[in-house]
Amino acid sequence: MRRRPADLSELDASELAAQHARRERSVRSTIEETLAAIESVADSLGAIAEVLSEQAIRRADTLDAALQHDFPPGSLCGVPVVLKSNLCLAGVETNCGSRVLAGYRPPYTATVVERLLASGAIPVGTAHMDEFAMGSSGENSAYSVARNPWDPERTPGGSSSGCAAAVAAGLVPLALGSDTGGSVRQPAALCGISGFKPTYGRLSRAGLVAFGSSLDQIGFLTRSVRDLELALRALSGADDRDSSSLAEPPVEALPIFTLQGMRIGVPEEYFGAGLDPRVRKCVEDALDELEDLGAQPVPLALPLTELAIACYYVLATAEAASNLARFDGVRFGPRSAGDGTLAGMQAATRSAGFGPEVKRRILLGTFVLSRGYYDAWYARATSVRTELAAEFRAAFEEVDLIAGPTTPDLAFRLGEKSSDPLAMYLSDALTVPASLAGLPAASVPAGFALDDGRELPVGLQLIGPSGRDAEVLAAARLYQAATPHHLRRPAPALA
Amino acid sequence: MSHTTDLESVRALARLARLELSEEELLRFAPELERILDAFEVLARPTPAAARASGATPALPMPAVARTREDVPVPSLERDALLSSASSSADGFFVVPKTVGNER
Repeated sequence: MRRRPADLSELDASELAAQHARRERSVRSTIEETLAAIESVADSLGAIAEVLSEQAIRRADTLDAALQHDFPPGSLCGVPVVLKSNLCLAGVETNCGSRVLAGYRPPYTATVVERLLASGAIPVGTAHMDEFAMGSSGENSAYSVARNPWDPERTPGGSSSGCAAAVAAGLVPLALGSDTGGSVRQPAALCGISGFKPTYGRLSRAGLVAFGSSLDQIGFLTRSVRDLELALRALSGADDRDSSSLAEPPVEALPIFTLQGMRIGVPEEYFGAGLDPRVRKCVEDALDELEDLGAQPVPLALPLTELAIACYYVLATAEAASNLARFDGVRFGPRSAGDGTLAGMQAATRSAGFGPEVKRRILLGTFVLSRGYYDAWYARATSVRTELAAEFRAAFEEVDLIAGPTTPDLAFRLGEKSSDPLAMYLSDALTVPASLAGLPAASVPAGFALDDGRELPVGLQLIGPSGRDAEVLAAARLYQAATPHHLRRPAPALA
Repeated sequence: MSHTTDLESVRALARLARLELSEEELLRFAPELERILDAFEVLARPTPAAARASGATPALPMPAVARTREDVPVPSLERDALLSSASSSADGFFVVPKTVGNER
């Protein structure tokens, strides 16, 4: 007897791809259902920038036909995917949430997106985001502020705001985002889904619009950790188009793995005064669960954590000031005439095109790189970063993984921090250390806490040594297999 | 760690960054930058000397090898496809305002 197809929003990418491969469900029906779901929450969720209906249906029909002819299915066969609007798909508007790139349709496709397509995944839309990935709430988008499906008055986090909202709302089981200082992990935590930032260099960045090149990594947002493993295997591996990509083969999931005897470092600095007590409680419960599974918690001191936010924002803004110099009205996007000179046109274009947070960061980055200040700010931050990475390396002599909260707070209300840039920056306090050291880090749902009558998700962050992506995900998978938090779904209030 | 974020300094930074700021923006950004940099003074705090004494600091804290591909010709992007992203192009070139004799 054929099983009744489960509700799409309940399936993770692994199960959905398997059902397509077994031809229990047609890819076309999955895509049609997905497009209808996207349409039904288009205005209330504010997550999707452009819906790729025509090409998604076309790809679905091609896949169904191939399956009919017994072509071997890809690992992401027919899985609908949302792309953050800073990942290029040829011919599709990639505006990075910015007016300066309004209407920009790249003539090429990012390597990770090519690999996604080769695995049989189907992009169904692009997602709104903080402009050029600068923000922690999604409010810095020039186009739409995405909402948190657990409470539409609150942020889904940022900068991969639309991606996280789309996965949490059950529209798609997989979204590709980018994580420079926490932009995948923080929204994953605030939306009650799983998120992963791989080791620096693990995924090719060819076709990702650059923000902070020494920090940027592409990452995934999913309903399950096994989907993070699936996506990592499909999309990782060296790429000739990105000379900073690691010369290593794709990362295979670790099939047999136990937490028995694993030493899990718990840094005291991650549980400091700025941590919401409700977040602390959930994460402490998660640590108890890890211990019940055989892991051994080890108290740890990472004193340079205190400098991480300052270090990160000096370096990230310096790199952004440099990277964003290319948006000058010459090669991409709309142009403003200015006073008729080249410099005037460039300044007018940039001033009209960039929003306040991007301008603020360009100013800050220009300052720390400027004559007289470079050594005290940029060079000093570079040196602190090196020390911070060394501190992690020393810690990993003592422990196998590091665990703590992903964010210091629960999802905050839209507007709550938008007028206070420093308060917004501090919400990245627990995600930037792994970014600075280039380490793999995952966020998995670790429970819920009540705020003003709303149940809001809390994330557990697991950080591993450089290159140990598979171990981080295997530990996260074992934790997830023993806990129910990732199975909870928000009420469909946004429909 | 010194910093000055008076209006004139911020105006100068904006010029360096090719940004035109309105008076309103200047009045908003100057105190914000001041507050942010004040908070970031924490970077001046002494840190373990050993790592600092280890010589020139690389930009990346991890071993970075810029890999090169094999030196064989591969197709590049079509010129017209690249030019199509520009707001103004002609005869295979990007068009910009006159740059010589029209400096600011």
